[in-house]
Amino acid sequence: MKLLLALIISLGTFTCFAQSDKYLIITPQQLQEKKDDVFTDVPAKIIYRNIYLEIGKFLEVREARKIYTNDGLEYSDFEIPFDNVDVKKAITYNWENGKTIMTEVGGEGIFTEEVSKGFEINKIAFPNVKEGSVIEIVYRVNEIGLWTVNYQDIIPIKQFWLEIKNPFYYTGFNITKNGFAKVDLEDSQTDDVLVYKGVNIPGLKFENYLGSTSNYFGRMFFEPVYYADRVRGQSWGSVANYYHTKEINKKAYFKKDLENVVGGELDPMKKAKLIYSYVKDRMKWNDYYGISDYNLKKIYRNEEGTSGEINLILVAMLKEAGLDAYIMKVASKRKGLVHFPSYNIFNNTICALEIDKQYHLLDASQPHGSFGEIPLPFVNGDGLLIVAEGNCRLVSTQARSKSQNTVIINAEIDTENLLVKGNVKKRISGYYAWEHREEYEKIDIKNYTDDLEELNNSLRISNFENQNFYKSEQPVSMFYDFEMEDYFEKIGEDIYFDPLLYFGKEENDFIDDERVFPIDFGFPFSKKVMVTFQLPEGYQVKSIPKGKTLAIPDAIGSLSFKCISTNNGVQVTFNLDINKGMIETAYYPSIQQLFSEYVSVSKSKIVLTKN
Amino acid sequence: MKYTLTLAFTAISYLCISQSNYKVSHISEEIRKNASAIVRDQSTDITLHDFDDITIRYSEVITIFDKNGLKVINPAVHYDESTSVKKVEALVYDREGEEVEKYKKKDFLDVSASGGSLYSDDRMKVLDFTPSFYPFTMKFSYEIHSSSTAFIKPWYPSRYSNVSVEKSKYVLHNPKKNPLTPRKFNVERENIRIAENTELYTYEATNLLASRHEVWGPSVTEFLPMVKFAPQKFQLNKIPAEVSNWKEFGNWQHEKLLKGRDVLSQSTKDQITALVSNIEEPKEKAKAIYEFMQNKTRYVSVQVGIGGWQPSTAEEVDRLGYGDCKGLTNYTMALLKSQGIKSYYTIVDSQPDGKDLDEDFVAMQGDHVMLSVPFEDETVFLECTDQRIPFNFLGRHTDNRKVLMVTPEGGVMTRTHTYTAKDNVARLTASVKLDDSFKLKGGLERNSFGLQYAGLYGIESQPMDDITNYYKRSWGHHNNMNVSNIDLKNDKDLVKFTENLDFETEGYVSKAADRILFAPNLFTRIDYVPKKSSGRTLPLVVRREYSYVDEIKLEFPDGYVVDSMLEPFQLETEFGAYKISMTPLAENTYLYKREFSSKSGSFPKERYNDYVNFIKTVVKKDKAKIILSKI
Repeated sequence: MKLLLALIISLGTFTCFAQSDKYLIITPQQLQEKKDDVFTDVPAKIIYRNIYLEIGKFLEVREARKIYTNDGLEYSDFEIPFDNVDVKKAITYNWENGKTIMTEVGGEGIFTEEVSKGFEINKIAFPNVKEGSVIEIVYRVNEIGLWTVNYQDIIPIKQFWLEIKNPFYYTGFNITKNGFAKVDLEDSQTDDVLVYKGVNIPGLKFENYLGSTSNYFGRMFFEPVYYADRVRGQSWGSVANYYHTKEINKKAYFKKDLENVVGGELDPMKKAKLIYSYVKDRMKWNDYYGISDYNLKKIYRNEEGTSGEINLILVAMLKEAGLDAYIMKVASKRKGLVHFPSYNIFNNTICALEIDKQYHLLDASQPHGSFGEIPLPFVNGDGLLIVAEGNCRLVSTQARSKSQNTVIINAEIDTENLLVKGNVKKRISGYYAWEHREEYEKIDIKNYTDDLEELNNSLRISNFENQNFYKSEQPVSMFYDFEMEDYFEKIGEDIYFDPLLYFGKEENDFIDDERVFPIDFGFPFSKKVMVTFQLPEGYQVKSIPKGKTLAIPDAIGSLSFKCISTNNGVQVTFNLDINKGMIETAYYPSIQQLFSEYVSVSKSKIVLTKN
Repeated sequence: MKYTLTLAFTAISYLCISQSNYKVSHISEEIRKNASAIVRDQSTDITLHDFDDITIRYSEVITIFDKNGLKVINPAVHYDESTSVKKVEALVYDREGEEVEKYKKKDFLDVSASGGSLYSDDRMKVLDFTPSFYPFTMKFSYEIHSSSTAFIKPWYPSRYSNVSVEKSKYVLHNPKKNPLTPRKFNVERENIRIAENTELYTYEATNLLASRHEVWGPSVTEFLPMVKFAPQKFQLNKIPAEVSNWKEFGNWQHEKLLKGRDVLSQSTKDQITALVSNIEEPKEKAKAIYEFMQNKTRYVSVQVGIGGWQPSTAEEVDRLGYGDCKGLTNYTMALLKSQGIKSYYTIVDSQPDGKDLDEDFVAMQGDHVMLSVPFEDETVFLECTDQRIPFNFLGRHTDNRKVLMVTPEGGVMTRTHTYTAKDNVARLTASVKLDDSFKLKGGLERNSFGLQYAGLYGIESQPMDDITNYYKRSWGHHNNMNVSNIDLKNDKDLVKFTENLDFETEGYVSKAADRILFAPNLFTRIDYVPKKSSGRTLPLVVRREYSYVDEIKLEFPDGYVVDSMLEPFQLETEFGAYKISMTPLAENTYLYKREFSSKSGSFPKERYNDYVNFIKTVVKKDKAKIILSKI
């Protein structure tokens, strides 16, 4: 959402913002209040946050906070994230013996700290703060350019007020709100003053599986247009223009190699995979992402480059081979979600390939990645696909194929030594394989079995082997023998044990009753566990758990569990599928139920009894 | 690339060694074993020119093999008003020993080292370094010059057990023969050479081998070699000192850092007098004054100059309503003094793993301050930075250790309270009904004392959502649990925390055909079982002991009968005692009882596996199940 305003040049001095002043008086009621009427159990709240902006000139902030409990005291240690600040007012209010007592912050309570070279912040310790106190601050920052206003905080904001006056330097400015926040503001305009208002804005609650929390805070981004002309396009088209390069049309330097690689292959998918593998194997990644050199020929010859440079070469080669390959700009989770057209919002370049109306996102700079996978930190909202000069579209970075994790186990129950033992074959692909390779590449693979044994202290692993660790286009396979003590329980003549060994789920991750934000699993996945239990001598199957299937609507995910009794044992099959990396909040109850079922089947029992 | 050997000159600060020695393949098998990092060469060269003038030249060359070893390097050097950084540099070598990166002083970030404080004068030069390959070797070196000599950098060749040391040398020049007392720990071994005289102290270690990390061992200072110096004449931020025993040290602290800072305004003194006017008992008076202070102030840490060592005045804390541990302690001391109650500023090492102050090391120690108030029957210790902690109660940060009281007559060592298993008890009673669908419904009450109280009382002030989630997570073995009617009471006089709540769990039992498996121990379980060890080298140290008593009334649904009952079980070992039983109360109603207490202490390494077996047995019995079947 963006608002482009061309305001009338306003002259004259900064006037009083009378409309909002009625919020600024601290009343005895506020001092005596024990809890808020809406947010009844918060440790502190922001009574008001009023921001007055005259762009290019100054920013004035007036804020008051109420401290309810001991845990709220920390909110009275105030940090102002700007340098060049004038603190105009800083007072603690307390209600004592029927009167309002005010204590001003003296010079000793204001600290200017040079956090690092050239960057100063101001910290304020309010005096006499206790449960019930209200603190109030007014400060002014000089010279403001591009910046962000937070209209949501960790504690609730009762009243938010943002008033903007247009400076006469600029012909307009751009304001964009974070579309991913769940907070709404009301805007209005009178004469040359633009106002944003918010009431009872809840504190941001941190949930698990969130990806990047800062993406969800209610906040607004400001840019004056003149500045924007230099760093921001009026539209995605101009951004596409900026990033498009004719370098991807040059082919002389790789033409011969390309012919050798493709050979007589005609199938587009196969061609693409050959070219991708070739570029990935040839080019060494230097750990940087940004494009520093557009001389692709030189980079190609040197066999080393940044992610962006390597992917430009990939685009060029795929195009030359007759495929629909495009430059795509993306942003990492840490950089933030892509909200509005700007040159400043991307921090990597990948290749988007279109075959049969399907997109395949490629990154040939990653030695452990495979065809169709981009590094997980960049699986973040949308990226900008540049079709041609001025022609572009926003494309989701979500993974399009599922990562697999399959385990096949043969187990026998040793009633004499009271343990379960057998062998495991595990195969992982997609992001599971990528993460595994990255984690264990630099250190001894033995650490993998050590890590497993760390998690399950009664587990002992031996004869570990792995295959295809270095073949990034193949899944990784692992084989090992195992022994596990105390796995089954003997009650009377019967033996009871869980069907999934240590591949089940012990606790449900999703315990909140309600959830505000989407659930980010990172990537869609499919987990399969198949166990064959061999009957011990002298025992027979007494009972096996009932099968179970559960599916979430709209093909979001599913679970299935089946147990069969065979001639000499029990066979267990378990499947868990999550078909989307990022799942909308509305599906939360279903996700919660799915995982609850996962826990249930994990602890259901197989029962054997003596013959 | 060929390397030439550069010789070591005694005049030059840095120990220059041929780079090819940094080749990773040169490291012997035995040094490499179990090590995430290896100190190839470490050199500390200190010159104490005078009691107020010290130069430190330090250099370390460390090879890191994986991300576990990364914490061993810390390319940062601290400085402040009395200390300046003359040189600082870092070099990075690849596995062949070739230099691939070089960072000079200007590449280091200059940042404030406020750490946990709101503000601090301390600064540091730090290198923001992320390795792009492993293994790599980093050489980090610096030279600092200071007029503060209270802390002389100790010799500590390896700070972690999984780090081996090829070579480490420490030299302290003391040309003016300033009186120094070296304290040596764990240095009686073959690979360590020592040469000491009043002008020159030299220590050298070669081939110290790393060992695998062992859980529940003594703190590393108890087995890793270390040498530290206590200067009898020193200066701290322009304040000189001359001390040779605790009496004199305490005296110096009192005269130079505390004296005159306990002045209160008359109105405040009158206020306190009025507060305690109706109280006879001195301990009760102290309690009222302590609680007054807790309500009036909050903890804010501001460390400025000597203020890093000196408390802010009582008048300032009174006026501002905040202070750090030193300020709040001094303020409380002044308030008590106004009513004729004597108390002492007390220095303590506040890490949870219970370190004593070193009685034989008369020097600046500790990282925290609290207040000791001597009474006839006991000494009351007061933690002044916590607004909620009860009077005369310590938590895990200051219990059971030697601390130093600064009295006007000098310093006196004493020991803080030790909490026993009896003190640290949690008693839980619950009443649970299972319905036809085997959903659990019931209520419980838990009363926690001592260190169990300390671990819990904080949740009272959390938002209700967080409290609910806290219980759901503690009892994660319940599947689909709902908690309601949560009522929490903090009795500060009895130091007792009471929790009352109702709960409902849907997926607790396991079903096997028409039989139900039910584990009666619904709440208090030990989850973590350590791995057994073959060849443990360190003794087993259990620092604290706790006890738990659970009584749960269980009502099973009609139409079901207990097929297989819980076997009563009892176990008593040197590590603790455990007992469970299940007895009938009425028709289909039983009482499950669990008692567990652990014993603190230090046990020889041969007993470690017995300890693991003890825990394993408890974990297993905690999950023991009964079977119910339809009639």
